Amino acid sequence: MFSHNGKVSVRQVEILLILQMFNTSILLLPRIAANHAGRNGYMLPIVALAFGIIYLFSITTLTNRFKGDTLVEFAPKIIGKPIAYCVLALFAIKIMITTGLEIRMFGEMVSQVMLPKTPIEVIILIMLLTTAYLVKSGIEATARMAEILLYFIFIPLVIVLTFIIVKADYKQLMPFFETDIVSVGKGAFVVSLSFMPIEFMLLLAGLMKKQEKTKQAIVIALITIAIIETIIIISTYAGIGVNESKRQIWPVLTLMQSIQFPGSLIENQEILMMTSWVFSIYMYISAGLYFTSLIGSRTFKFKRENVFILPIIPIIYFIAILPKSLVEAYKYYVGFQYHFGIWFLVPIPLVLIFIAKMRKVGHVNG
Amino acid sequence: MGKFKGLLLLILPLMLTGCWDSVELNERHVILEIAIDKTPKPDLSKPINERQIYQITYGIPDIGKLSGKDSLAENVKTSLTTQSPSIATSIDEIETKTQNTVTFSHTKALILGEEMLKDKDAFQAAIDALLRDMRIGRSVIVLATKGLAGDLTQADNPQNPIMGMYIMKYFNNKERPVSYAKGQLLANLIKELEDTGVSTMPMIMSDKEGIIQISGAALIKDYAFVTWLDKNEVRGQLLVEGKIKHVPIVVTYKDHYLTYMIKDQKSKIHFKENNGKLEANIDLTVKGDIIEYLSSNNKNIFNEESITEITQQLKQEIIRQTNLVIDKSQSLGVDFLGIGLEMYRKDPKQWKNYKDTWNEGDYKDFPIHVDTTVNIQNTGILE
Repeated sequence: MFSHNGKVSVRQVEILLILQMFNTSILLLPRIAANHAGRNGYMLPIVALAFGIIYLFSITTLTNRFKGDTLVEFAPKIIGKPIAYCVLALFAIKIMITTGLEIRMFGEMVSQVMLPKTPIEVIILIMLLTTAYLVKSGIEATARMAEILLYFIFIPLVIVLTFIIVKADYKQLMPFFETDIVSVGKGAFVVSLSFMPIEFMLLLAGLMKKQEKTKQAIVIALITIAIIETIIIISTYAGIGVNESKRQIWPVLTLMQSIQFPGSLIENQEILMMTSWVFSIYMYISAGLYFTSLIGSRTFKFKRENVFILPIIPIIYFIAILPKSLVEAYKYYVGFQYHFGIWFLVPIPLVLIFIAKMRKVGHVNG
Repeated sequence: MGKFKGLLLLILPLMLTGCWDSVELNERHVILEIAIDKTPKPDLSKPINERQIYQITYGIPDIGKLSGKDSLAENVKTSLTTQSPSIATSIDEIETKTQNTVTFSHTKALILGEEMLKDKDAFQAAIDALLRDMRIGRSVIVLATKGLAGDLTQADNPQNPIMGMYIMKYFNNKERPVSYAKGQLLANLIKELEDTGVSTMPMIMSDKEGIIQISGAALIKDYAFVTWLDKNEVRGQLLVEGKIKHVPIVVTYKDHYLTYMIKDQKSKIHFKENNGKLEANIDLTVKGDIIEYLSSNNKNIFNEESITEITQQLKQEIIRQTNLVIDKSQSLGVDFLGIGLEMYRKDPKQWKNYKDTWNEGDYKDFPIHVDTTVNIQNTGILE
């Protein structure tokens, strides 16, 4: 922890990445995994780690070449200002669309489970404004909030999952290893897109005090989230069955609804999962707002990094309310992640590394 | 500016109250049991969206009377019945008959009438409707009844006027023997129906005195009722699934009855080839005590020879009880014992040879053998 120097520690980056990756896709994951690999879907997050390592190397090879710089500073050095600003604009647009769709899915879920009579617009707007309040204080405040929320997110989750793990019907996972390798590979790629928040490292790495430990931070976050995803998929299959996981839009919530605590001590236990998840979405939206604002303020060389936060809110809000229904929101959310999720994880960083090497820009031994 | 800030600070907490259209708990009707029947004679000449297919009875308890000093109060519940073309319209109608908002978040039991179970479309649609907008929890207990479910929930039950509470207490009591009824949660029912297409739900009935009995089961295949299973058949099903607990088994030993109490039971299904033909073996292991036997000087059971003989008797009886349900299941051609599912899980390669024809006849002729290991742990304090 550092005092107001705009830097974050390795531990804070690990926590930020874990919480950002623990987003809506976690709730959809058992469904996606079941559709790709059936009963053996639980192995997809582990296989997806291989893709995660590729993302890790493509991003860290680039960022380590320009220590202390974010994408906003090093992109113009590599490809010249005009193209760099186009790339940065695309990145900002991508983050805003992803954040908008994420918050829409959040609104749909809260509306479905907790606040059925509250207009979804109100849910979305309150979340955006609350997030803006945190983000305006900068990356340090966000990172410290992540450190606090970590306990509020994972303690309820561990309690609920413990009950499920003890009572679950593990025969649901049998027969083992019956899925063909192509389906596993394709499924693992789709699951690996849940690691998409690693792309924030293009900006966040430059804000780390010990940037040489970027790889370590990402590896720990990746392994942690892959384990969590595997446990969640196994619990969902064992709890509600593989076929039901395919049928449900929010299989993890269905799982939470299906469990019965001894003696009916706790009812409506899906709220526990929702609590965890709301906090983690809060951190994801914070990242979306902060990094978009950071791109804007650093591009226009503003001293304050939070200048763009309030102007961005209406844009994200507009993106969030654009889909007419849950069906449309779901289609956009999954489709956008599938088609555009990979761009800033591998292709663009690789092109930048290639050009940087050709032009001999940055630290060669980075 | 200072005054403005102060005013703003005073107003802002209003935003933190969470909801502006709150309905207090005492303004809610917490539905504890739902009985769904098919309307006895729906007017089939009407278009589908106007046919009053569902007859639903909601048990609304008076929470005030049920709690505190008035826990023994009478008339603690109101039953409201509606006829409607869908579940949502039924709830809509019920709202017109009550001063409070109805809520299903604490529903304990869902009881389905016989005719409802026999109408595949209506049954499947009702389950779908209840789950689609998460109206009721999936951990609600599901039961079937002969006749009308609404009549059952409205009948006087001297033990507990609230049927939902009665059912919840019945199944939550872990000291209760698991002998003639297999508890079924809505989540599990759906999981079984989605996985294999076959499931059972416990049967609940009431006699003329209003005494409630839960035993036997309704057999469901592809969301359609197949038949009723009697309590002995359910006993066999529980044996195959390894779920028997605290159940007495009575055999004859040396011209007198002997009661053995099963304390714990396990079951394992495995497959092996015999003369080139695959067969299933169900290995049951039971642990328990001898709790009743009239012994005398020449009829003493406290010796190894007697224990061996009694073990053989018990073994045969348990195999007989298990075979009862296997025969029933194979005669119906409905694999509610999960033999096919077990084959798929344990021997997926063999399952490929059977999966297309299993329900079409292969299951009926599939050889299934039962073997039992009986452990007599205690004979009581008498010889």
